[in-house]
Amino acid sequence: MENTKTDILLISISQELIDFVLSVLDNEGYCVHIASSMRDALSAIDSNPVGLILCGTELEDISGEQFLSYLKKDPRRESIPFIFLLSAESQKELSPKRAIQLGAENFIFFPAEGSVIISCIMDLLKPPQKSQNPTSSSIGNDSKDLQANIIRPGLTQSEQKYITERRTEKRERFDVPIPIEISRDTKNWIHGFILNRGKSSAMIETSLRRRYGDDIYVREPKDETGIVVTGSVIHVLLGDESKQIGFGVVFRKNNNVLWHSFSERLMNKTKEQPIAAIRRDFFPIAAEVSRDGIFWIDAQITGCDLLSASIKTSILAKPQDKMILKFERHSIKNIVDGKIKKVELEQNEFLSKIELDFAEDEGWFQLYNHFAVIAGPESSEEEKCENIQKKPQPNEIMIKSAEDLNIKKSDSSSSIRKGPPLKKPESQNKRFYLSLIGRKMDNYEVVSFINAGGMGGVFKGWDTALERDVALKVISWELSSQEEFVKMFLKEARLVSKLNHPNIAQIYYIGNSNGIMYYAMEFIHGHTLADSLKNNTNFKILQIINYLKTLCSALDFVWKNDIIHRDIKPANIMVTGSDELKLVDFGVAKLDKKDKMQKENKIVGSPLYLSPEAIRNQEIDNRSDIYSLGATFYHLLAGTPPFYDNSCSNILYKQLNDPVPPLKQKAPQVPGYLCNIIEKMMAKSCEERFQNYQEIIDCLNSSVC
Amino acid sequence: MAKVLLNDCSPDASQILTDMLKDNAEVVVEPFSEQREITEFNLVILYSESGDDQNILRKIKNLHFRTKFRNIPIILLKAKSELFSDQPYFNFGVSEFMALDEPQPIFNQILQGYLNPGRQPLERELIYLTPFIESTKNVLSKMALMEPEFKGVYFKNSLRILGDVSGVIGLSGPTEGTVIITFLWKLAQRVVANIMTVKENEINAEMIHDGVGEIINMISGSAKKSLSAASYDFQLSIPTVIVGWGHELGHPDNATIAVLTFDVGDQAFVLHVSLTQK
Repeated sequence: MENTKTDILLISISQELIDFVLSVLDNEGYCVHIASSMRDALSAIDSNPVGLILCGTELEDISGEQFLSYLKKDPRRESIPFIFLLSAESQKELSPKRAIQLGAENFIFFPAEGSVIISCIMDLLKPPQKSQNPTSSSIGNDSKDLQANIIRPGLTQSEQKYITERRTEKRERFDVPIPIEISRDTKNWIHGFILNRGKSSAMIETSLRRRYGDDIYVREPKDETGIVVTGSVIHVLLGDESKQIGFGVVFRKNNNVLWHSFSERLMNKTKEQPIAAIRRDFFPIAAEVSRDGIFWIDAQITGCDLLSASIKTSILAKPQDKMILKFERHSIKNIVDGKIKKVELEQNEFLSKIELDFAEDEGWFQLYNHFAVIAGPESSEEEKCENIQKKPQPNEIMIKSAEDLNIKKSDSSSSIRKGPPLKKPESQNKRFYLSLIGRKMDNYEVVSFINAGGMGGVFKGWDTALERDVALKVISWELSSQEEFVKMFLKEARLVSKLNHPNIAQIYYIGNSNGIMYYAMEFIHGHTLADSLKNNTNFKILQIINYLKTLCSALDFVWKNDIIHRDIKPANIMVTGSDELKLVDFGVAKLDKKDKMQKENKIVGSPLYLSPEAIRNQEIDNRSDIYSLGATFYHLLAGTPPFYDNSCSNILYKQLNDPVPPLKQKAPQVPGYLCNIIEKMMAKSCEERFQNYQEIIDCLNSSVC
Repeated sequence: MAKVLLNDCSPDASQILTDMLKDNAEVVVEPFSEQREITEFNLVILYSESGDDQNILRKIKNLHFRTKFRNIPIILLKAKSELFSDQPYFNFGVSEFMALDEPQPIFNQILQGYLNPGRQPLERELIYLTPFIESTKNVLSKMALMEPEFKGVYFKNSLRILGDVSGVIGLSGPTEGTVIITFLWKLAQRVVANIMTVKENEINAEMIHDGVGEIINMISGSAKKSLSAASYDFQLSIPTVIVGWGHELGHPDNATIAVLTFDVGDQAFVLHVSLTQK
């Protein structure tokens, strides 16, 4: 494939080598970018049309060999030709043979003549037209002044003009980044820092994600003046592993003057304030510390500034010791090396208050930025707590009552649950489950906690009478306190216990220990299909078809025993070590008979897989399970559930009203007949679905044949 | 029948709790006393109406001292749910924080959960617990000239360390987990003084650090030999010593945490063992 990109990226830590190669390439009219570290190099690759990389054996942060290995694993960058710049000394570390094995296109030995360099380059990159006015730009290297213009093919005149202006604009870099607040909508403000500024532009480091061309608003922290400067993103700043860490902003013409006076004032303010003035003290943020990077102890961060943090921990340490801080939350995972500045014992003499210095670790800056966001002065205590709590997942929500359900398209703030907030019963349930660990219930010993769902908690147990592993399901306190549910549960659990099928986990015993309702069931050594989805397992089509047939046969058996499962979902289908399927959790199964129990005023199940008639609280039969089974297999094949939204009510609205998104579009590899079967299983009207499981099996058999 | 001690309970709270527990527990209502022997009880409930947190924390810590590391959950009961963090109470040794205004079913279920008898170790758990029991007794008798008496084992749901000083060692390899020995300060001083053959009053924090680290290293190293014969293979990390009260360590999900309790004279210490085979 022809290399259409025009620029060369020169990476080296040797200024002598850079000067020499630059002079050769400048003469030939190539546009060259210079970097000395991986971070700068990746940023240059992503911001410029780099068509060739010339790289020395050593970078500031990693070796050239590691950098090349990294590039070759990155599908977006692996195609960029790579030439190693080797010297006699560096041959000991990296031989030419090894360089080619790693994927380099060529190598150049230094000292080399200019003509050798050019001939190597011309094989891989088209020489520039002589009309171009060559230049070089330096990233992370202040010594290079950007004087000349860059002309790139494919850009409009105004874009060319803009790039020229921006490149030639004199920029002012700051030793201490200037704190600001930025927003994309002028409502929610996030902390950021100005790294450098020009007359009409600035480079801002922040955790706010923006793309090229997006609007951005900038204001002073703790703003009292009301001045907001508007700009557009014109460059995205990337950090390690191509994560966005900031962006370049150009301010609009009518904002130029405003920007200038605004940034002047900010600069003056920062000069007046020592770094300690922007120290933040906040509610404790949980983190972990270690002395050796192996064993981690809990710690609380109680304050921080740009270079250091105050933490409370029980680890024994003294000043000048090394200490590693780990923070893992909010998709931020950072490990930073620090040095202990000061240790104070707390009043009770068991907790140490440690002042850690992170001046030598750049990773601290990102963490500081993040803490600034979650501990921002504008958020209330309650908001801060919410910031560090996980949002409930839509597929974990259990709907309490049909009356509570307002099936209208609503925004994400609408809540299905009335009464106390969702987190309270959840935490109460968790407390209840924890109280059972290490206890004995009748003949069963509660060994460990496995997980909790809407219906109850599941434990690994041991049957002391029969000496075998069992799974113990303890009904949540909310459900066990409803007499109607308890009666229904007992009645149906007795029936389910009689289901003897190889693909159904058997119930061994239903018990009540000190008022705690539970049942013991077959313990399955394996994982659920939900785990497989989480791990991005690639299912083979034939495997999926076999799974579907197996489950249809199991559910057919269940239905013929007058039972409806009502909670078919990936989390309730287990795969054993020998790849056999087991249907589990009949906790909300119900009789397919029109008796008194039929008319309950509750909707149970998981919104992502719930049938329309179940949502409407109409009478349901096996076709409701067929819909849920279809939604489950849609998820397995497409990798995403058929309907998804952050709000539970919106998911239910979509289940009721939106047509099923064509499976073929989401998963083109799935054969058409299988897409048709899944979509028919998920028809809105139960009359249009398969009427029983045998029909699905027949349809699959005839299609596969 | 389980025995429950209610401390400092108001008449209303006593009545509610007695009614709730009368079917399966013997309830003793008493004011809080620092000298009361509590190892005979299965559950202790401390009631507090006042907002004097320092006083409550002091009482919780004292209760925990008197449990001698036995499996006696301490529940702190308040009249009303509070919005502020309950973390300090847990750090000082309560197993549960409850309020009388919580829904009665959950209140009842949590209490009943704690009243269920503690489980016995399974045969497969004894295979790896026995070497740790033996090595603990051997190490302390040989190195510290003490004769610890093994009092029992129970299982708990978190690796919260309620003691003054702990030696922690990580196990990695085909078998992974954590082993932690926890002492109260006084006993740690005595043990380390005996090991280092110095007087107890000469022991400083650095010596405790070295001594406790060495003890857990020796216990784990000695148990490792016996366990490798039972196909529990692991490597030991460098020991870490934690000084503090009520800190929680991470442990693998679904892992069981066995607490082995030992008495030395009138004092006690524990060994937490959490092992999983990959």
